[in-house]
Amino acid sequence: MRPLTERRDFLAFLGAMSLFFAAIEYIFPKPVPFFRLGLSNLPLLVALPVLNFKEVMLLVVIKVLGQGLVNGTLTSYVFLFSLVGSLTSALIMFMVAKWGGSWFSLMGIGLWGALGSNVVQVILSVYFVFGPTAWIIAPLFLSLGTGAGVLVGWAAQRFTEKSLWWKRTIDGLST
Amino acid sequence: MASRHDHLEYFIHPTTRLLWGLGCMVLFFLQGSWVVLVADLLVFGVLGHLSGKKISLLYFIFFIGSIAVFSLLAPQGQVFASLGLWDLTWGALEIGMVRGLSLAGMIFISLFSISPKLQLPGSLGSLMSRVFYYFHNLLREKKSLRPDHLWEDVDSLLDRVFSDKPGKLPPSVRSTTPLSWFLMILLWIYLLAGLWFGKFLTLLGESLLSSLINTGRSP
Repeated sequence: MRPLTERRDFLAFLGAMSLFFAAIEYIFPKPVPFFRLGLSNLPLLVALPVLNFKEVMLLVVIKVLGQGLVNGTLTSYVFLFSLVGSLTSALIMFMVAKWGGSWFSLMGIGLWGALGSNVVQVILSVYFVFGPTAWIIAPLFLSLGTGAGVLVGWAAQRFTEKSLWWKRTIDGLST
Repeated sequence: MASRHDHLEYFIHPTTRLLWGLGCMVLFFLQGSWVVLVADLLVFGVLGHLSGKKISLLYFIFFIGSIAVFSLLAPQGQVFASLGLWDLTWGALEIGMVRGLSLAGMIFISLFSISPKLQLPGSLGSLMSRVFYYFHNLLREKKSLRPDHLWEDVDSLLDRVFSDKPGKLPPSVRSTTPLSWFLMILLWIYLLAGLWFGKFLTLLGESLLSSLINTGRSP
């Protein structure tokens, strides 16, 4: 294990990667106005096998806080939605990776995470934004979110297979 | 994304700006008049624009409209129109509009009161400044990415930026000027006045809207 300062630096870099991928996401057109692909989750997904629980949660806080500061949504309900959705998703993905890692690829883990995050966000939007009648759009929202989760999981899988930087960094962290 | 220039950063310190925004949010939360909420939203929108944030008008119209439509699905109060079996009611429309405008207003306040240069205290603050250092460097080289070689380019970009020795972003934060203090307090006074006259303005707005609808209906 590398010293704590180096691991903190690695966490900071993963947080920056999340913000960077969120910025890249704006390049892609949105099929539905409230829909987001969630590319900012890619660093979290690929780093799951090398981070402990505390580090995973800290990375989520860094990601959400960073997005709140960059986009200026820190004091709005968007921040609350993002924080609760991301923490739920990270918790589920961490558990699936830890206890079901041999059965699920990153695509499967991403799918579980997206499902958790979207269910929580639908519940929050019913209570805080649209009211009980919003349940009628829940199936569409959940389907789109699940599709996005699979896509991000696929991208994460490909990243871990292709990235030389990632391989070197992981080797460096574990020595 | 903060892609444009932030004009407010020349006059207001990021911490003062956050406190100002929180004050606005408290006063805005207490507002129940949709007429005043619309006016507040316009003011906050201008401030958001001045702070360099990209505000998509169409997005927010769709956002408020969709909340109002979902609210109209549960009829409440006097009927003002019918679409087949669906009765559109004033009460449901007002609830939806107030909810939509309040949520959009919260986002607008957040947009103009949060600066990426806001320094958070403690170890989380120092960790965040390191995150922003790397993020700044990644963004600086974003243009080197080619769509047809995305994987390779992203990989070499990450390699280059991560191997940099962590440093600090140059501090470019200015203190709050007396004129800014005056303008910030003026906005609070405006929001307080909105609270005071809210009921009267709502009645005025609703009677105007009713007469407009009645004029439209009359042959």
